[in-house]
Amino acid sequence: MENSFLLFISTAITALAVENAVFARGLGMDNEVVFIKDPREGLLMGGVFGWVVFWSAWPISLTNYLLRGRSYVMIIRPPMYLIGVLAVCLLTHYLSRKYLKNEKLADEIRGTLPVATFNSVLFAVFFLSASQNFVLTQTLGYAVGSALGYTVAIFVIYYARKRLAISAVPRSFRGLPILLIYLGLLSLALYGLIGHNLPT
Amino acid sequence: MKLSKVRRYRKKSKLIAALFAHSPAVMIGLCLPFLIAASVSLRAAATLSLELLAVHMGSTGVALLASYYCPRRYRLPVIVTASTLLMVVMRLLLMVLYPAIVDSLGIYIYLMAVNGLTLTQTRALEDKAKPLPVLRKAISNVLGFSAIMFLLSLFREYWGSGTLWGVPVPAPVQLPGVLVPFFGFILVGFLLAATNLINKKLLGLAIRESALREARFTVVDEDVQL
Repeated sequence: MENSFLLFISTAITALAVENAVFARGLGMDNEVVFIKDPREGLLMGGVFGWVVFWSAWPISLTNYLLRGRSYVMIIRPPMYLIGVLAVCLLTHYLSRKYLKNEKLADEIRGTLPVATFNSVLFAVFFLSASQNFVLTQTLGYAVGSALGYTVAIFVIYYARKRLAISAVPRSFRGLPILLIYLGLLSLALYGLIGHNLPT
Repeated sequence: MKLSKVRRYRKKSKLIAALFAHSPAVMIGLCLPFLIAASVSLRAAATLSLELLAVHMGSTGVALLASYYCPRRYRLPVIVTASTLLMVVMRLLLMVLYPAIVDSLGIYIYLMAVNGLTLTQTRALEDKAKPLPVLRKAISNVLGFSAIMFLLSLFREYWGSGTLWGVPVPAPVQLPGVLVPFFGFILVGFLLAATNLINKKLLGLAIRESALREARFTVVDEDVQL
């Protein structure tokens, strides 16, 4: 039990910081993520993404277990993942319509659901879990860590854009170019966390 | 500058504009994960471009059909299912052509099923959209992505691995850091800035051309009046 908890925590921290999907791999850099309008929208995106990734991790982990060692795993895996994610998405849609009292919030969740679900980060979490032969605890830890890391990345991007918009930046670099250079430097810092020594 | 010269320049720059300055991969940052992390060799660029061609064109075709026969709220799941199936088929085909590259690309081969370019553009399709303009736009988007992908890959493969299309090429210095995603962010940032500059230049040329044309017609009108 203790061992499982430690596995969960260590994979979650790895996914959150060292292997942050946005900063370390450039994933999830879609239009909707880069250009969120206010922090509430970012929180909603992160929350819905976390919900979908956490509940999808259960059927997908079971799929990985059942398909382990099969020769056709590479062909069957993507459609199976898609079915798992789609099921969670539809269930969330249904639950928000049926049980959520706050109509406005339910509408917002349903609006965010497609962007948060059909997202490269979400699918990357499961493909990376499979390629590293994670057990259920590790897959869940990786999913939770990735969700937190994704939310952090959304906020970092939001505040970076806000700061950069009022900075003196050459005209051609304004907007996305300077943001990407800023994220590149941040990514470099995280890359350094893994530990790279210069020759002496 | 003479009007004929401006026209000639504009004709040439039309291609540059379509491939770089007006490409959605550059303009609004769609498909950025592939440009940032997977543009490490020319073969990888070719593999991903072929995959995008199949996935994007196929999904656009399905989205066009869906715009006629499927209610709007069910379209996205239908499109993602189609793009996933196309990705699986393309992966099998690419495994025959470039097995080592497909292996080295890892998750990025699978993630083409949910690429931002396809999802954003197919979601934006209106009801009963006209097929020809949509398909024309789709193919120009794929070409734009491929052009940028090849440009970035050329630079990164040469400086990072000292090879071009896997063939060793003498390079003054080898910088393995060029192949890491952080450099991808920075390089794409500079490329975007360069395209902004091209955009500005093209806009200036267009304004100058229209001003020249206006001036010429004014002179002709005055001649007629005389």
